[in-house]
This record gives sequence, C-alpha cells and structure tokens, in this order.
Amino acid sequence: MTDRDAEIYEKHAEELLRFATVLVGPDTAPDVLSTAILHAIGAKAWPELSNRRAYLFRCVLNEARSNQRSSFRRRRLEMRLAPPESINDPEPSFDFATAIMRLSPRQRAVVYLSYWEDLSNEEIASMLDITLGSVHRHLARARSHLRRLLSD
Amino acid sequence: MTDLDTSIRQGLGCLVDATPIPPTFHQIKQKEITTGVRRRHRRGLKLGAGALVVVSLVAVPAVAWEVGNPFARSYQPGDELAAHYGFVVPNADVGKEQVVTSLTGVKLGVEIARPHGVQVSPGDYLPTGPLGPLYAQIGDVPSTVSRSNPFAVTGVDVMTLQPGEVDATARNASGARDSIPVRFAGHTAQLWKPWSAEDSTVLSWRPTSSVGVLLLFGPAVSSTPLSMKEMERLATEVHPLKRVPVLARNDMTPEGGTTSGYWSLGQAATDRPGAFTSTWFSLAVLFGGPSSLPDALSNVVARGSLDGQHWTVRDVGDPVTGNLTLGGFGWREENGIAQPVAQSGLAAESTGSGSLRLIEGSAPDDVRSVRIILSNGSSITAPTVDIGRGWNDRLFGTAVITQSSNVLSIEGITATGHVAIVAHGDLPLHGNVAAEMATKP
Repeated sequence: MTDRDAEIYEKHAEELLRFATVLVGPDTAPDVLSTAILHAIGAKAWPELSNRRAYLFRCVLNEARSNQRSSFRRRRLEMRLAPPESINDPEPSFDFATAIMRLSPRQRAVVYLSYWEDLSNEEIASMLDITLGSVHRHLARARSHLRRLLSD
Repeated sequence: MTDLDTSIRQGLGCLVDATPIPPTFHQIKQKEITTGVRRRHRRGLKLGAGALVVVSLVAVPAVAWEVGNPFARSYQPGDELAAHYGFVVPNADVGKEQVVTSLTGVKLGVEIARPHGVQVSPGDYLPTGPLGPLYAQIGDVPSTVSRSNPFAVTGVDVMTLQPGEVDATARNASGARDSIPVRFAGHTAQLWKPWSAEDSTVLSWRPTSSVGVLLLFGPAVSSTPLSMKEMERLATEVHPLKRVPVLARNDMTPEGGTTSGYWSLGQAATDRPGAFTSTWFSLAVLFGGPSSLPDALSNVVARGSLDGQHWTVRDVGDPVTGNLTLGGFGWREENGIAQPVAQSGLAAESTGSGSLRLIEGSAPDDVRSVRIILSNGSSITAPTVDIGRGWNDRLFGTAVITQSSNVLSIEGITATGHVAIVAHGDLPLHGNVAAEMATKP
C-alpha cells in the first residue's frame, strides 16, 4: 500500500462510500468500502489499470453483493435459531428509499449511477464492465419494480 | 421528468444523505493488519472478524467526535452550531462598507455562531447549523487584495450552504442572472458565468440532497484562460473537511459582549491558478445579522454596461442597519509553526454600542486560554484550540463588540491558571490593521 494508493483512495473515497451506502446502507458501507479497497489494491492487475476509478466502483459492487449474500445466510440462520415471536418484523413503512433498497445490488448500482451520478448507459456499462444490454435490462427491471410499488 | 424519476431521485437522496464519513486510509490499513482481508482474499481464510468489530467500535466514535454529526438535522434557536459556510468576499469595486483587508493566503470556511439563528421574520428562524461535512478543502488564494481594492479577492474558494441558498448566492457572487447546466467531476453542476470583470465564475452542485456547494473562481482566476478541464480538476478536490474544531460560545448582547466563531482549516494551495505563495491562513467569519445569507454575503443591487464594459454594484452586509456581516482574520504558518501573530478586523459598523471587532492569534501549546485586555480596561477570555496540524502553537479567535480602540495585551493562561506568556502589543482596533506582537515569557 503506497502513498499513491492513499492518494487514489482519498480522491474517490467519498463517492465510493456514497455508492456503498446506496448498495448496503450506512451501517455496513464503511466496512464494505474498506474491504473493497483492500481487495482492489491487493489485486495483481491494480498497478496496470488504466481506469482505477471504475475498477474501485466494481470492487465496491462486488463486495456489496458478497456482503448481501453473507447477510442473507446469517439472517436465515438467525431466523432458524430465534424464537418465532422475535422474528416478526413490524410492517415496514413504505418509502422510495426502502423500495430502492429492495432492488438487487446490480439494479441498485445501475439506478444510482443513472439517476444520481447522471451517467449515460454507455458510461455505466463501462464503469461496471457489463454490456449495454445488461444496463438497459437492469434499469428497465428496476423502473418496472419501482413503478409497481409507486402505483400500489 | 416523470413522477417515477422524481421519486427515484428523492429516494436516492434519502439514501445518499445517510452516507457516513469515509474511513481514513490509515484505518483501512489497520483493518488489513487486524483482519487480514487481503490475505483472506488470496488464501481463502476467514480471519479477524472479532477484531474488525473492535476496530469499528473504536474507530467510529473517534471519527464522529472529530466531524460532529454527519447527518443533517434541524436546529433550534440557541443551539450551538458548527461551521457550515465557506467564505466569499464580495468582489465588486463598489461597496458601501469595507471589510477586512490583508486577506492573503488560504482561507477557511467559517460561520460565527448565530446565537439565536437568523431571524428572517418574527418567530421564524432560518435553520442553520451543520449540514454534514463542510466542503471547503480548496482554500482561497487571493493575490491582489489591497486597501485600495479590498473586494478584489481573486482566488478559488468553496462554500457549503443550504440548497435553497445556492442560486441566490451564486447570482450574487457572479452577477449572473442565469446558469448553464454542465457536468463537472461526476457532478451535475450549474455554471454561472461572471457578469463583469469584477465578478466570479461560480460552479454550484449538490453532493447530497441537503447540501449545496459553490466553487468560486475570483476575477483574476476566471479572467485568465481557465479551461473546463482545470475547473473540473479543482472540483474533484472539493471534499468534506474532516476536522471542524468548535470554539466555546459566549453571549453577545446589543450592549456588547463577545461571541466566538466556529472554524475549520483548509489546506494550503500552491499549484492552483492564481496561487499566491503566502503563508497566511485566515479565518473568515460570517456574523449572522437579520438578513438572509445570500443578502448578507453581498447583494447585487444593480448591474449594467458602460462603453461595452459590464459592471455590478453590491450592497455589503445589511444596508438597513449598516451592519457588515463579513470579517476575517488570519494567522500565518512558517516552518510548520504558527508565529505569535495577532490581527484585528473591523467587521461591523453602527451597532449602536460599538463595532464588532475580531481578534485572533496564536499562543504556545501549553496555553489553554487567553485574556485579551482592551484599552477601556475590559477583558475578554477566549479558549485556545489545537487545530490538529501538528503545530507547536494553539490558536484563538474571538469577536467582540466594543468601543475600545486598542488591545493592550494578551495573557496566555495555562490549564492551572498560570500566566505563561504576555504579549504586549497595543494593537490598534481601527479596522484593517495587522501587527505582530512581541512576546516575552
């Protein structure tokens, strides 16, 4: 971990943490970001990368997805072990932030980059290293899902 | 834009608003040491989850303490407020009052305590206070401030303010009526082109739904060929200050008294357009008067053209009461050590009982407070603050409404109440005078 790595991190820390917050929520976001940074900097390809910013975004998304999977496993275990009455969550009040958090991490990432960062679909595809078709598909599904919730 | 689009943006805004402060690179390195994340990545081992929890528990409160509440919340009149405004000196040639001159070097964003909020109408207070992080990392680098042209500040500056204040403030700083949408450093921003050669170029954007940021390029900066790329580079450097020391607050009444400022320190700029290699840091103070913030900063009252040249005229401060709302004072850094320096500034006129003076300086690091003795025999006590730059000195700053004309001396007092140092200065308080004070143990 070099001074140059530190510079790169500090330059992008905020936007990456914002991205992570949208993906996993504010409580877990710093951990996800930290782990993603360590993975990124530890990667063999890191010194040769031409677009490190995009790579860092992808690392955050991957770490968020991984985190979500482990959270799901943990929660499933907790539900099995916990007495029934303690797992009855109160009915969550609906708002759009909640609705966005119900999207898949990929959909959330695409929605965030499109609506908040105002990136074009091409830029999003490049940023996340996915095809343009995937961007269209994720965005369309997310919008459809959110529209349904809005109309309910 | 459809309802769905609007709702999505609002939903994202709520999520983004909750963004905490990023861990430092050092903390991440610590995480690697304690949890072996990279080793886990390579070897497939699961190590150190418990240690990570411990680190998180230790690290989070420490960050929260330094930064203050990173989330926006509403404030009540009388609440203690942290800094949230950067500073801009109105840069029209014509001003009805004069603000402090000698502002050279890197400026800080600051807001003096609005002890009672800003009363915009009876019973109605403009909410002020921490909006979250203070976006003011780029310091001002003025190069042509002088007595003869006190408003011609020419550097780069950043302001953090409430979203509702962005447009009016950008208009006042640029003299422009309208803005142009642009993309800057990942931000959807507005570009405000300067109306005249005396006005600033302004970029405005919202990093979160509750914070507006202005990036101001003073006339000397924006009149030189400043490419969009350079502006974008500067915009990428705007990020929250992580350390906003808060000074204690004193009461200030119409009859007099003192109040203190909240301040934070920007980093020195050396390689930016218009950079001036001054070693001065300055503390800028916004004194809350009965005006809206954009008006308080400076209000364009007229704009026009003469012989092909555009011009603007601004009111500075509150034209009704004659109060000025801006002031600034500074210190300088030499070889990493703040030298004993004191400077006073005239920041207000016609208060009815005196003028608002700003007094600041530095003291050795064992001095925990200073007693400032004025020429009328009264004294003010102000705490000193370690600003966290590794200096051997602590800084102080306070504002006072007084009819006194001089600071006779400043006593540095240790934690045990011992007077460790006395600075005799007979420092004039007639406005824009800076004087180094001889010190002796």
